[in-house]
Amino acid sequence: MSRANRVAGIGLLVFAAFVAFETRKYPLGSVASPGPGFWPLALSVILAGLAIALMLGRGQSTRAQWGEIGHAITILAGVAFAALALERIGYRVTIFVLMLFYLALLERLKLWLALLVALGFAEGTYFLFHDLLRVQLPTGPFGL
Amino acid sequence: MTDTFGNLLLGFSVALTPSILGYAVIGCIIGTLVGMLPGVGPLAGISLLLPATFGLNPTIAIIMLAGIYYGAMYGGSTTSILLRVPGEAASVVTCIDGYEMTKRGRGGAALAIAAISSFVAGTLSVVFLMLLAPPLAAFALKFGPPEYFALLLSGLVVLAYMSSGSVIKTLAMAALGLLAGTIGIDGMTGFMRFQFGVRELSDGIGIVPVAVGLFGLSEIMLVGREAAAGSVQKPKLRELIPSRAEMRDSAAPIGRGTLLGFLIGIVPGSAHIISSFVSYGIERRMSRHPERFGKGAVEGVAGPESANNAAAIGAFVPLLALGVPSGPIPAVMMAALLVHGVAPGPLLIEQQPALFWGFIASMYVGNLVLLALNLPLVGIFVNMLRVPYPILYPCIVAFCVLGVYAVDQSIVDVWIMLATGAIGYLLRKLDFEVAPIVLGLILSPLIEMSFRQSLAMSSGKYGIFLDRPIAAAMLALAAALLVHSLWPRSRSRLGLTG
Repeated sequence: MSRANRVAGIGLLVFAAFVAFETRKYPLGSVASPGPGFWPLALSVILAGLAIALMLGRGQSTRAQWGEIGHAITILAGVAFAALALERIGYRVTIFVLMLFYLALLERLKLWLALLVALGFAEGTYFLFHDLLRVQLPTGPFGL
Repeated sequence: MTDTFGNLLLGFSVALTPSILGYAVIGCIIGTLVGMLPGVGPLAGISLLLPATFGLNPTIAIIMLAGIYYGAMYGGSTTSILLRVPGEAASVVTCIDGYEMTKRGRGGAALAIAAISSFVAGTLSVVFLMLLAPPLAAFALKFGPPEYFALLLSGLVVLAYMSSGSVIKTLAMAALGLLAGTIGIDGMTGFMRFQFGVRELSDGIGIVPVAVGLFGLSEIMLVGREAAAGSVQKPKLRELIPSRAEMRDSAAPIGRGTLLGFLIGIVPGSAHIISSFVSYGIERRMSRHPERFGKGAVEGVAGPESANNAAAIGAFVPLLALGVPSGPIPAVMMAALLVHGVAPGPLLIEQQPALFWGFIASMYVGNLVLLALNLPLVGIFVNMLRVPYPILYPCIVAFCVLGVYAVDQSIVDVWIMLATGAIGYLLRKLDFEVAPIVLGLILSPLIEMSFRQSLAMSSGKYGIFLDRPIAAAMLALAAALLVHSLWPRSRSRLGLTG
């Protein structure tokens, strides 16, 4: 039994149990006339079965390498910032700060280059999508 | 047949208007650039560029998206041949002999062979699609809910059967996608499910944030900071002309690859990826000099390239004729069609002939544009590969945020992308394929609705699925494949692991 499969199986089993628990809020109907809770409950049972099969099955015991996990978390942190800031401070400022964070702080590019790329990307994409293609993008204080 | 060609003329009258032609060209160029970016394959590419089509009418939008699709497929081959970096999974096989040709100074010829193979395979496949889709759609009009349920269910089982990894893992991912698809209003009762008080979840989870998270963001997270473009060779224009021997050696592999790819494309699964691997295996087996494979055999480029392009077009057959996407990329294309108010399926050909035949004609045009533009412009395209990765990846992440937000102007979608990016990263680390999640997500409402409608029709008798011959045949096929795939010896004989 591979450790990775066991971990994944436990994760899927917990998720399936959570879904099954949540379906108690919806009418199940009957086997002949299923209600809105029937299908998710059936799927959660199938998922639980597959999770158990995964845990019990013979898997190749490959070990995942996690060398880039720090980089991955930083990428997510940047996206979380964008999600929090986008509608508060506007598209251009958010993207400018996000790019500056990645380029100057993370990648340690020269500041003038990081500023140039961040500003160019934020303004360039705003012009292309908002002005030319008429895609709605949020603006923040001072119309930025 | 006369009808078909009359309709095709109608299609060309749509596709060859200057403005639409212009959008097809723009789509092909943008698609090629996107296909060359590491971490952004056709799936994430189409998802990201979907907002760019919002201001356009549906016909133009779909034609442009189709251009992006072919362009992205071709862009992946360019980086495979010149850098040994596949832009997307289907191009992995092209790396083997394509890059060897580059090392021997035949990189230009390899690019030309890839483009010619893609063009021939693409064009022939469009002919097959044109001939096959309308009768299939007419046949599908006879389908009721039980047939649709059986078709969708067997599609998911075939996907698991064809996957290169574990069947159990693939089915678990499909189940995860199906569960994600139950979020939002229940189509039959109006009941709200798994909404947790978030108003934006009423309409369910969008396919774009999920696809961008699973394929775009998680790929950037996986690649790490060390990824860097190696030295990029820029082929000169005259080096792009293949020799007579290279053309002769490519002819048969292109023919075989086209037929094989188109047939595999119709079957659910990551068809374009599988087809390129199968084609490579067949060409190597059929070659009188198999020892040349891996050392720059032109057949190793021509076969897989034609197969993956034919499969990409074959995948449109079930989508356009039945309204059933056969893989994650057609699923995203279906989402794009739905965003533009076009419901693919048997009625599309009848109700919107200009759109359907314009789309078919644009495929011919798109193939021609790729051949005419991409080869001469390859020198310009490869310049993009010189952009250092530390500058490139922040741009891709910012594009992910922009593309996902712009679809519905919903910040919840950005959070969904973040969550699916993290989940996708973990799942891929644990050796799961994430493509079935996307397919499950888009099929979920259809499969649940057809299941419940079938039971309503039969007053709750499950026998309805076995009483109707088409549904019974499809379910029998699904059951047979499931049993066969779980039989360990059969899987090892097929070369599938798991």
